Amino acid sequence: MIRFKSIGYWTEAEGVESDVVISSRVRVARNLANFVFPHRASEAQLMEVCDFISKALRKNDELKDLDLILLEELLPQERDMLVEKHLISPVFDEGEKGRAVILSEKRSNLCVMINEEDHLRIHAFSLGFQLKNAWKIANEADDILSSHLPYAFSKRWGYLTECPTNIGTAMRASIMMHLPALTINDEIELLFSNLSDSGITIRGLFGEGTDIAGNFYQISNQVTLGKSESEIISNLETVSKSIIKKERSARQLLLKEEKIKLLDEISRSWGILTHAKLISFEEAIDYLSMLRLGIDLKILPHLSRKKMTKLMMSIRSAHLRDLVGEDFNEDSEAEDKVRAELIKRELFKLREGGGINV
Amino acid sequence: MFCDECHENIPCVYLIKIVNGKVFKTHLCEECAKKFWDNSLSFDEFFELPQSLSEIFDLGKGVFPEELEGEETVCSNCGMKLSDFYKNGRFGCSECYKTFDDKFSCLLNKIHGTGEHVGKIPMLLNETIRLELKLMELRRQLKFYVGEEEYEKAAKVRDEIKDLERHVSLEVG
Repeated sequence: MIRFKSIGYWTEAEGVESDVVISSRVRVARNLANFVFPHRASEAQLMEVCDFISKALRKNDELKDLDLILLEELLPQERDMLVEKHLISPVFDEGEKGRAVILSEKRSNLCVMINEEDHLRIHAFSLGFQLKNAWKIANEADDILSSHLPYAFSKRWGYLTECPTNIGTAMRASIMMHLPALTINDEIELLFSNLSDSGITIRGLFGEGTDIAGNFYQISNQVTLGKSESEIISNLETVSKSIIKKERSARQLLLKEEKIKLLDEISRSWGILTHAKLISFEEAIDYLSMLRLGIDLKILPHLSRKKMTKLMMSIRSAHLRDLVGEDFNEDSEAEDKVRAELIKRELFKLREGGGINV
Repeated sequence: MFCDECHENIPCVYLIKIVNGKVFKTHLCEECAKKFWDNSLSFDEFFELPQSLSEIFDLGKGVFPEELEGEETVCSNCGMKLSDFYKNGRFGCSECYKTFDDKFSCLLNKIHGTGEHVGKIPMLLNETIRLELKLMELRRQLKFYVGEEEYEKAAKVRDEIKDLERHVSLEVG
């Protein structure tokens, strides 16, 4: 049985500006004063940190709903799911002894990693363009934890972190966006270079390096010292709003000037997704991105964006395994086959519901 | 975060190269950036380097000492040596920030600019420090509101500051 399935399930509802923004996230890094930072700590020292936090959770009523679970106590599948939901990092997942997560059935938009790069990494998220809400969740959890745990803090440098690039607020706020039109018209490159001056970075959500799959991007703040949390958030919101606006007008321009090409791309995507016998995640997400664009531009009026997001999420390895109850044992052909079948089935189901007229 | 070239040192130069409209970005440490700079002076794929690059290198003197001579400073809490930090760019514990303060201040300023922490304060922190920080934040706000000519808000903040100051003097007294 996979526990904590509801945690981070960002497909349940949609949220604001959901034609461009998938989700908003905030993470803060915290360390315990005087405890050795994780990278220098022995297994015993790591366990000491887990025990210390675990005791604090059990002792205090307002922390009672938070469960500290050692990573080794989670099923491999549960861990994979947390990685795919971007709740724990792949690096964290590789570590064994002395690493833990704090999850809460009550607070399904919250996850705390214990002994990743820092002692605590509090991570909160919200659907759509709701950075303030994500910050509220993380901030609340941080207040509760910091009333019972002695944090490492300096008046001058703020929250002290293992890596000097994170000090200050030690906060990283990010917005996940779908930017197909800006990618198609190559404006994204310009955006990359313009943003770097404003203390904000943009990178692909899936795929490695410059090979960005599915036109999904993550926009986050880089500066953490000398600006308050609310300043960082409002700055990121302002930049995001202008990106949303740019993406929307780029989409309209595509529709106006490249309509036949656009229809061709969307139709081909539909064709491949409904006829492929084997398909990798990266390939599928690229085509699903085009269908999503079709939905947003009302070219595919009967498809639901919510269902499309759900489908995108369910075709990642661990989710696929969970869905079909099969372990592929690193047999990528078997995995690609199941993925192709699932997509085909889901898309045909959607067609019966209303029809595709591309 | 490490240098994209040698994967060993902390990057201090952020390079953006644009070739035929494609943007390449890379984080380099001082040494690799120097090498890169020397090699790329052929100019056929010239790209704009920040004007302050040489300034960055000048600033860097003394932050990354050429060699560490004699007794090394060691953090009494976690045993981290200065040379450990140069190797992996990570601190060993919260006390390292105090132990190596004179060496790191310059580096931290290089990464973040000259700013100091603004924002949240942990709940458990000593009450006097909390009040002091709160006062600093309020004074910043006051300046901001006066600058924006929002005098009503400024007056409110000023009253809050007066209140807090009384509190602080009581505590100290």
